[in-house]
Amino acid sequence: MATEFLMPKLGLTMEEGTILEWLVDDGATVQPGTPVLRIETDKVESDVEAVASGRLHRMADVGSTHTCGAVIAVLLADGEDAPSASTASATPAVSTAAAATNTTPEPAVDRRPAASISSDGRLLASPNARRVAAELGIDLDSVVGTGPGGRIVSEDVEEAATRPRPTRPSPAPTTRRTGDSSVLATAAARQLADLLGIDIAIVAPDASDGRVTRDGVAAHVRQLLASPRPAQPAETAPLPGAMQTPSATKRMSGMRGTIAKRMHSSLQQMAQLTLTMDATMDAVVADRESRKSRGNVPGFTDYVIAACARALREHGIVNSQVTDDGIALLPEVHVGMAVALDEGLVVPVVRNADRLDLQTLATETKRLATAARSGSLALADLEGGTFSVSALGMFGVDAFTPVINPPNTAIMGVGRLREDVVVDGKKVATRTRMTLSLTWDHRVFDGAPAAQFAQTVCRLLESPAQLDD
Amino acid sequence: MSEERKLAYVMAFNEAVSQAMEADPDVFCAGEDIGAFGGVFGTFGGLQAKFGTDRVVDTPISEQAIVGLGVGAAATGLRPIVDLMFMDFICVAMDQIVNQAAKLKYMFGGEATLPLTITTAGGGGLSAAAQHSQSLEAILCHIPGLKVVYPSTPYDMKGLMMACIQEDNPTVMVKHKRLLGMSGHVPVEPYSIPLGTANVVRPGRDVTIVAYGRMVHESVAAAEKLAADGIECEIIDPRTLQPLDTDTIVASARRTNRVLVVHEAVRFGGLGAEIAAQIQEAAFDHLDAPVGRIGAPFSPVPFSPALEQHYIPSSAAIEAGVREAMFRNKVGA
Repeated sequence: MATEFLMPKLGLTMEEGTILEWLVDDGATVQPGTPVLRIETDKVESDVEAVASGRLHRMADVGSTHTCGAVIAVLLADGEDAPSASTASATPAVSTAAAATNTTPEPAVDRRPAASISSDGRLLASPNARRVAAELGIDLDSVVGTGPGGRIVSEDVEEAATRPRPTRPSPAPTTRRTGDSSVLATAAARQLADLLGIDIAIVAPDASDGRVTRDGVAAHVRQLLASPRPAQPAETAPLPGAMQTPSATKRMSGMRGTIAKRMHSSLQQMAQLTLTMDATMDAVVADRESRKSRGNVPGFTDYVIAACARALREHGIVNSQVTDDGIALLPEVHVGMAVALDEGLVVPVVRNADRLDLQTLATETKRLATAARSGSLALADLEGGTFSVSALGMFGVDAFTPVINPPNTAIMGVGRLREDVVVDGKKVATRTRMTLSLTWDHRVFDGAPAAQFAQTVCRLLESPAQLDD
Repeated sequence: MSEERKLAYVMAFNEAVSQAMEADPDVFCAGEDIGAFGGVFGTFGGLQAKFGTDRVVDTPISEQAIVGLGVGAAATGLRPIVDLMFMDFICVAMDQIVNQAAKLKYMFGGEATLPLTITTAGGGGLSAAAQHSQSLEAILCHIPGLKVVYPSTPYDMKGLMMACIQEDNPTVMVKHKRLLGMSGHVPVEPYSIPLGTANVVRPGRDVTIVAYGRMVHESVAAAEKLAADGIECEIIDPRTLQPLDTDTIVASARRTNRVLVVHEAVRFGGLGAEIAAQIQEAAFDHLDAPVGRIGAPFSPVPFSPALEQHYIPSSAAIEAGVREAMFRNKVGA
């Protein structure tokens, strides 16, 4: 039997992938473990291996982009013919025939058998099953349907409730699915909401029976249309053509596209502003000198990362995220560090940076930087950052306005190390100093707490022994 | 007491009429051959001898006239029982039933009362052919102003017939031809069953079967067979089709989450469609399967006994319908 080869889902946030290169010729036989193609996601490039054996029949071209779970090839058994083009639709995952070398261990998100999904993508569940699921707090996605055509019936939900819950990654509160099955809604309402891409959970239910109705969805949409909206980015409007014949055109996909999208939306969605403050680095310079005999010496940026991480513990508001429910204070401190690459930049994350001593932190940043430059970062290395540090000092920059890496609420820019002449009391002296540029989201906190955070960072840098606590 | 007394369905009808006539001198009967002959099925047997030709009246063969007589007598103070030999023949009297009996109270601004009972025999199974075997109750239930009852047991027959006679609005009492000889417990003393109250014939947790008339008994046979496989059917007999006891049906549907409606009438446009619609309106979020409907095919009732047997829904068809509503794949298959 032919096995479908699917665009894999390499991480929680991966939604689509672009085929960079087929590593196996069309028609060649592959074995489990054979790298079949290389894909590019918004974060990494990754080789994808076959998990089944068979003759490769490619169904997608290099450069094309596919949603996770889309069929991009089939592995044919002996004597089997390739499916006709009409059957080559991007159906949801039936069997995950693709495994990626870079897959981070995570619970399978899409473990629903295809049987419960109708050809138009609707989850087949009886009304009673939906009601019982809502009452028991069961996610229908995790239930196997045993009714006609794979329909989920209430018994399936009740059985699922007796099993241990699959530990689903808890999505950010802002990402509610359109087809949220925990919401009581009529079938027609769901269909309309699906069609229009409306999150049914935010539609007001009918007052008489508590369900979201089709009329309710329509009223919601009318309200959206009537309410004044902020100017939309002209994403759909075509841009004017190049004013000269370009010498080359780079596709704005993959990493470039992601940076473009994220930075643009960061500036559009937040109230960002930047303050600068000079930190005296003499103590850090001395600390580095004292470590030189002991091998791996932390870089100046490492000191800043360590200082920021500890300051974040003290200033919880800076280690936060804006959600639908409000400003979520995040208990763990994971600091992202921007690493420039030829084709863009990545921001690998130093996890629990506030709990690492300088030596350990330096080892970790070195590992991440090396992995970033060799393109071998794992998705786990890229996820979960709560704050970022970005350094441009090596290019002679003192101060700049870093752009916040969403969904963070602040970012610290690191300037160059320089010798300053300062007036200390009545005396003139020289100090090694560095300018720090803190960009923060004014929606979340104001200038005074931002300055206080920067002061704490400067104070820590003046006594680096505290960074080893 | 008369706890153990058994009586046939037809005699339960007869006894209700007799006791009502004894109790109320305004009650009288009229119909084809109901007097000296006692009715084609013996339904009115012995009543003319007991109450005389003024109160048990043989009529000409004119259904329009028979119902018209009843409408006029009811409107002017009497409490008539008029008999249409076969349910098929209500079509002949449709103007009197639909435009007169059902409408007069409304047309006279509530001033007129029509305590009229129309009795008739419905259903197939006697090889009586397409013009004497029909189940036309859905047509009657569609008419505001009429109440329609369809008893399935001798006990219900007596109690519901009594209620029909006492009712101040026009009622249609449908007797099923193949139930006439059915024997069952019937108390001697007069009693009435309130119109619009369903009977839970058999409690069960897995699936609700709504059935009336002879289909109640086919459903019970199916339920007994299914019980051997661990499927517990709850059987609800509405008994009164108009007004329909939706509350009882819906409460059961909410409990079992699966419903099958069974009737002998043609499936298309049958009462099952109405019942299914009401269930989904009131219990949509409690359904695990579409409301199933078992009814006759879209065809006249055949004369051939073999074909007729195939035509009328059987306990096997009901059993299959229940299994379909209960269908589940083997887990892991």
